Formats: sequence, structure tokens, C-alpha cells
Amino acid sequence: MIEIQEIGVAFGGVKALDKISVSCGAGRIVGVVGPSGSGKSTLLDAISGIHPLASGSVLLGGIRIDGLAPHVVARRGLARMYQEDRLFGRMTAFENVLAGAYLRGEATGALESSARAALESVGMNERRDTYAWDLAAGERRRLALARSLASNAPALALDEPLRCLDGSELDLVRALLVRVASESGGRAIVISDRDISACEELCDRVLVLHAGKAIAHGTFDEVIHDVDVRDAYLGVEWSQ
Amino acid sequence: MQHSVSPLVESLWRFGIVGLIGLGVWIVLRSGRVMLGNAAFAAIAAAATAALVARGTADIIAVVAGVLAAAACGALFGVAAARATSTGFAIASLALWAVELSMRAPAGAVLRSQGSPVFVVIAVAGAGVAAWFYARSRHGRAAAAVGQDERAAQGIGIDPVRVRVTAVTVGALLAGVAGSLSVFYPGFDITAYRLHGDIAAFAAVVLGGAGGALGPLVGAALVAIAAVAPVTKEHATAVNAVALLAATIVLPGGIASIFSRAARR
Repeated sequence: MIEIQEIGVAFGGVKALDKISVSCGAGRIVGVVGPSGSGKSTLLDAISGIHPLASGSVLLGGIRIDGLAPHVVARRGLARMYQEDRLFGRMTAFENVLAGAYLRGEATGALESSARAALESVGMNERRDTYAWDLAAGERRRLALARSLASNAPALALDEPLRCLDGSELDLVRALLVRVASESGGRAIVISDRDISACEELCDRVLVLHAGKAIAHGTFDEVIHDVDVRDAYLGVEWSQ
Repeated sequence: MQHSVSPLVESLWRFGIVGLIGLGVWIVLRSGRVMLGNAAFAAIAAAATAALVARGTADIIAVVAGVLAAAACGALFGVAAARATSTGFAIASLALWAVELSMRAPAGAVLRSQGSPVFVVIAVAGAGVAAWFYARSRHGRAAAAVGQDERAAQGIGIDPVRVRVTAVTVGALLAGVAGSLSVFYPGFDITAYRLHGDIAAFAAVVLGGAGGALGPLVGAALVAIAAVAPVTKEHATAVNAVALLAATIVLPGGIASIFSRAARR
């Protein structure tokens, strides 16, 4: 579904990403992990059309989407959740999700029904009439996820969807992501996180970035025992 | 300009004209850009309508032509400026002042002076209701999304350039309605749009509140009253400027925000 082929991103003379390749099929969840500044958000920005590629290509459903404007990439079927929430603060939670369903083009009744379902899925129905800027950090995160899901896009690029969530919220969102990946014929989900343990039960594959380079790629068990991952990222042997 | 209409009639005219131009400013503001020269589109429409009326064209045709001319000019400006940053857009909109300053009523134009503000009041009320529904529509939410966070809006498939071009065109069209109808205002003076029109429209939006379509109309009513009240009429533009400044500092959400806060309690 999503194929990232040897992409490079440069800011001036600085290589932010160097020949990164990873793919995520329908019904799969791929985790992109690494410390701050490793290039996780840059990678998601690059596949979303926010940063132009210096090299390589991005395919969605077999069709190249690199070089397209972000809104065109979204129209081709890649929904985005940002690291900084980027909610519409002067809209209520419900209106945020309705805005997220912009591309669905359904009648108002069906649209509102879908938006209610998306809010319900992240446990936010009781906060539907609250302005986004009045929500707590975990609620904002869940709302940002609901807004991304509302588009019903076949592919999702979610930047740190588990950030700011506490125990029960984490369980809810993890279960939701697994369910979303498998429904509607299978959606491709790429998530990023600073904490590799977030991928343990969630991700089918894990890509570890360090200083803009891929240092490991494989299943969770494979990458946590990788020597490069231990040296550059974990610092110690992995233990639960 | 000397003309004899009652203060009530004059204030209704002013309410309609300022309300329509202000609604146009509000629509552009909703998409995240500050339009400082919307009155230029009213002036364009007024000049076109006046010229046609002076040549004997039927009133309705002259009005429609004036409105379309304003909307076309708005679309051109929108296409040129939609990609500019918020600061760049505001500065670009200042160029429209040159349009306002250059507009002249056609020589020899002897215009109708029915003095009835009924059409402009109907127009502003209709535009207000339409704007209220628009704000709740899919496209209205898209415009608000672009205005609040352009990148987030792009992430859900909204094209900010298209949204802004549409907003500027609709804003110019509303100003065009005001301009075309103002030709039939007994005190019609095309030079009144020079800066005064922009200040009045902006004061209406800021004073009334930019949170919803009701705000510019509430503000327009206050601006209209200030324009005819004996205490303030001689210095209406200065009063608008002071009101604009005061509202920005004391009541940034505008008067309409008081109503909406009360409704939420």
C-alpha cells in the first residue's frame, strides 16, 4: 500500500533523511522509532508531501505521490496526524472530526453519524461540544487521531499517536489502531514513536532511525536485539 | 454632499452597505487572511453600475453587471494573492486603496434617488443568513480549518489556495452588492469608499466580533448609528477608528461574543 523507496530529504546542506526504504501493506502497522531528531517526523512529513524529496520515491497503492501538494496526497488516500496535534482550536471536538471527514462528501446526516462514531471510538463522545483548545493533552491527542480516522483514508501516517496518553487511554488507542488496520479491507498504518516499547504488541514491522539513517528494520524482536540499535538508541540490552 | 433623508433611512442604508462589505471582510478573515481593501470592490461595482445607469441601462441589469464586475476583480485579486503569507496578503490588499482613490462617478450621471433602503437591507439580511448557513456547511468548515491551521487543513485534503480564492471572490461579490445598490442611495458619493469604507467595515467586524456571521451585522448597526447620531456624525470615521482600537483592546471577541458566551452558560 505505502512504499517508500530510498528517499532522501535535505534542508540546505544537511541530510535529514538518507536513503530510507520501508513499505507497509494493507492491514499492517509499521512503527518508525528513534530518538528525538532522528528523522521520524521528517519521514512522515516527506511521505505526506510537506517536505520535498531530494531523492527516491513514495508510492501509495502503486502510484507515485511524491512531489504532490499535501492536500493532494490526502485526497489520494493518505490521512495524517501531526506530532503537535494541530487541532482547530476554535472548533468543538465534534466540528474537528466533521472537518476531518471533509473528503468523504457524504450527506450531512451520514457525515455526522460517521463523526460521532469516530469520536466514540476514541472515547470522546462526552466531550463532543468542548472547544478543542479547552481539552486536556490526552484528549487532544485522541481527538487528533479521531480526526485522522474520520477521513476513512486507506492509509494513515500517524506521528506519535500514543504520546501524552495514560494507561487506559493507551489501551484504548492501541486496540483501536489494531482494529482500524484490519477493517475496511485493511488499512496501512505508519506510526512513529520515541519509545520502541510502544511497537512491541502493536507493530508488524519496526524501522529504527538514527541521525536520518535507517539502522535496523524488521520485526520487534529482530530490531531490539540488533547491535546497532542497542549502541545508538537503547544504550543497554533490551529488557521489558 | 447635501441630501435630505431621515436619520432612520440613512442609518438603514449605512447598515446595509457597511454590513455587506463587513461580511465580505469576515469571510476572508475566516480563511485566515486580513482584507484591508474590500471597499474597493464596492467602489468598482458602484462605478460600473453608475456608468450603466447614466447611459440608460435598466437598473437591475446595471446592478447585476456591477456585482459581477466586483466579483471578477475579487477573483483576480484572490488568484494573485492567495499564496501570500498572512502579512503579505494584508499588504497586497492595501494596493486596493489605489483602486478606491482612482474611482470617479461618471460625468453627467444623474442617478435615481428613491431613498428607499429596502433592497440593501434585504440584501444584507439575506447575506447574513446565507453566511450563517455557510459557516456550518462543509465548505464553511473547510474555510475555518484553513484559517485556523493551514497545514492541518491540508492534511485532511483541503486546498488552502482554492479556499482563499473563493473567500476573496465571495467577499468581493458581497461588497459589489453594497456598491451597486449604493448608487441608489440619495447621498451617493463614490469617494466615500476611499478608506472610510474600509475603516467602517473593519470597525463593524472587530466591534461586532469575528466569531460568527452575526458579529459584522451587529457592528454594522453600531457603525450606522454612529454615522447619523448628532454627537458623532461629523467625525464618524474617527469614531469608527477609536471604536476599532477600543474593541481590539477591551473586547477582542466583539459584542457578539458576549451573546455567545451567555448562550453557552
